[in-house]
Amino acid sequence: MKQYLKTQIKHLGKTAPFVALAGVILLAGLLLILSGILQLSAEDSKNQIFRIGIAGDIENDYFQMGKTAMETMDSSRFTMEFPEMTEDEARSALEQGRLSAYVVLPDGFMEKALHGEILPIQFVTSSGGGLSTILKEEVTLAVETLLMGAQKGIWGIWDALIDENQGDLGYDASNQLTIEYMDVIIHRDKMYRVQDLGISDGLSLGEYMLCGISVLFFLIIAIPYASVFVRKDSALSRMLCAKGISAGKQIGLEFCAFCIVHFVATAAVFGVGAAVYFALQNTSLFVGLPSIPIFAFFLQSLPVMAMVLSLMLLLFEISGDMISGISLPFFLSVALCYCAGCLYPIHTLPVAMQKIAVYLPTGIAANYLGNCLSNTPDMLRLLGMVLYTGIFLFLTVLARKHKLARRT
Amino acid sequence: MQGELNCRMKTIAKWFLLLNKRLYKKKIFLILLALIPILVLALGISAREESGFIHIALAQADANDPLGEAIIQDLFDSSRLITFARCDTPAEAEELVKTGQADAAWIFQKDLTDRLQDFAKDPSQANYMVSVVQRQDNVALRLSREKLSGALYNHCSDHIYLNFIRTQTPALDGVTDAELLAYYDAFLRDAPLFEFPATTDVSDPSADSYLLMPIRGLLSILVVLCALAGAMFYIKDQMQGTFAHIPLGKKFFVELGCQTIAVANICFAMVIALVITGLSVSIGREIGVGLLYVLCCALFGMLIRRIFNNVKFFGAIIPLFTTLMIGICPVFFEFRVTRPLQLLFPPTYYINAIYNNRYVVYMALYCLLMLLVLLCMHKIELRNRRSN
Repeated sequence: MKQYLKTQIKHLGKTAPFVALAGVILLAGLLLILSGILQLSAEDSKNQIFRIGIAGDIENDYFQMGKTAMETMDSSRFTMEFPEMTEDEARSALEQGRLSAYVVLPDGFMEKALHGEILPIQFVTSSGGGLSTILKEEVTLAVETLLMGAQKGIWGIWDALIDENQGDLGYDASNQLTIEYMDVIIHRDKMYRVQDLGISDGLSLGEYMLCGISVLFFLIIAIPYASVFVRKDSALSRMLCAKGISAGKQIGLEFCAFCIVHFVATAAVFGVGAAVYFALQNTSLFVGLPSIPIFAFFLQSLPVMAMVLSLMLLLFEISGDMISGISLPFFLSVALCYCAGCLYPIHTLPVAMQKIAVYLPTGIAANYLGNCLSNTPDMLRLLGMVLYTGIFLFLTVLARKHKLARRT
Repeated sequence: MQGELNCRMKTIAKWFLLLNKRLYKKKIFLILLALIPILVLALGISAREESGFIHIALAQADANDPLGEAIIQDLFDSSRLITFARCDTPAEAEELVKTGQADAAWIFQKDLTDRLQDFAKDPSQANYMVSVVQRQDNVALRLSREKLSGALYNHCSDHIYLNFIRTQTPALDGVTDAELLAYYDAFLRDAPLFEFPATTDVSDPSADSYLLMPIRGLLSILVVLCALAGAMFYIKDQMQGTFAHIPLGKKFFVELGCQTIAVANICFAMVIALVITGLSVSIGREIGVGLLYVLCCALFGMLIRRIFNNVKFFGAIIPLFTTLMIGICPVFFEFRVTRPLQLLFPPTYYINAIYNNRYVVYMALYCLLMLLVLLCMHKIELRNRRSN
């Protein structure tokens, strides 16, 4: 048995350096992506993610006045920029990703707007989906609400003055009323008072996403071991059985070897990752990432890794070929992470999915890591992971026994 | 001539059947093919339930205030991105925020009508109408507050109009408030203010759900992964001499056949998954673009195999490629600054080709380029082997 354990460690050890190298690059890539996402949602006024180009009828003093007011006084200046350009420039900038969207004001727009008639405005977003495409409805509805109220007032005062034979006062009155509405629109952030409670207990968005991405990382980084564990035939297993090492012992030894080698490889990845992070933490590369005790996080992740490795061992065991041995773990990893709220914050999922997520192995793992980060360790979740590890290993043993029982 | 053609067709058909049989012999491969549409369908069904990217808890300081009630009613069902939850008391709403069950709480203050009227008179001096409680501000919450100000503005716009007339327009002193409001309400816009011109040749059926939008992208990455796995499978076949009897010159086509068969099966499962979940465009377009994508991924797998012709190294780069594709290709987000890098990976072409005809052409050119590179590499390999 010791010999088989040593052999397995040696065998896995040949793959581990490649896995460790890939792990370092993978971890850096995932952290860069996470940093990018967190920077996009940060409250820093420099991180304006929505650049909305304005094209069309923009050579007008009133338009420029309104735009200047928006850029200097309106609360939207913290979330949006409105560069002016021609329609062709805007289309090109949208294609290249320099704009989130652009609007086209039709000819004569400002002239008619000053008389209370607002012509339809074209709002163009990118074709590939993404948050800005979904947000376009929210943003344009909010703008439409503000403009509609003003338009109703302007038309109302004109009609009332005309009916009272005071139509000659209409132009000045509607101009004055427009300025009143603009004043209210610019001060609309005074309608509410914002109170930030801070993240005293619980996790920030960054910490939450870090836990989810860590689970995905642990799953994906274990996939390369398919080249070692996915076997077409069971000749080696039969020979071991003949020497008295039963299917259960084989799986146990393979699991131990897997854990030893992979923990060392992952420790190397975390070590390099920590060194790089401390060297580059003051640069713009990893701005926004939560600061966590890396060594403690690694130790607390060991039960998660053990559960992941037992799941991978099961999937490798039941796959008879390399294609299934790689496709199936990837598909299930992404599916489990998706449904457990590792890729999206869990409260964005439908209620039915939220209820299932807490029982999934990836959900339990992400929540366990979250508890560790917020210094509120949950033994129930740890027990859950131990239970899942046991179930996966049990199923692996059954699969191995089934293979051995089959006649070749 | 005809006989030779028939013979070739029979050989191709035989290889097609044998290569498929090799995969279908493993039950787990068939289970994987079945799992893809089942899980995607399950996700599609549950994603259509109510959900929101931002969760806001609503409460009133004065539960009997009709204006607060009216504004809250306006907010419900008015957003696809924001989910609202009604709370009986402000404390309950704040608790939801503290425990992370809500992103923010909007608490409508007492004397809401008076505050609204004061705001309409002088917004710079008025008292706030809503207390927004949140843990940490971010862009999404800032944008959600535009929704709040829109809902409040709807109820104060007529007050602004009346205040102005009563203070600045003595010519209308003889008109009653009710008559003035009748003029105000008489205006009805007959068309939406914003038009959204189509920027794609085909509309995206998943565009209105942030949960379903990445599904096509993730499945396309699975197809590429299958191609890479197929390449690993081929490396092992080479080591075991499975195709040792095939002449050197024809090995290229055998490898292409192996890759294509493996990828085609997964791609077929992907198309079925998209069709039954309602995320597909027309069947013809799905099949046409799908077939081109199969060739694209097969060639991609062959190219990567030639660059990393070592099982262990190849296995190690698979997670790298997977993560790169998830991050760079337009699956979740469109990071257009990484455009040059995006164009290296097949999913970028596939995701765009489904909705834009010119990307079909780009994907065909991408396939042609890879085929040329592979043929050159194959010729060099043949020459080296023959000279040895």
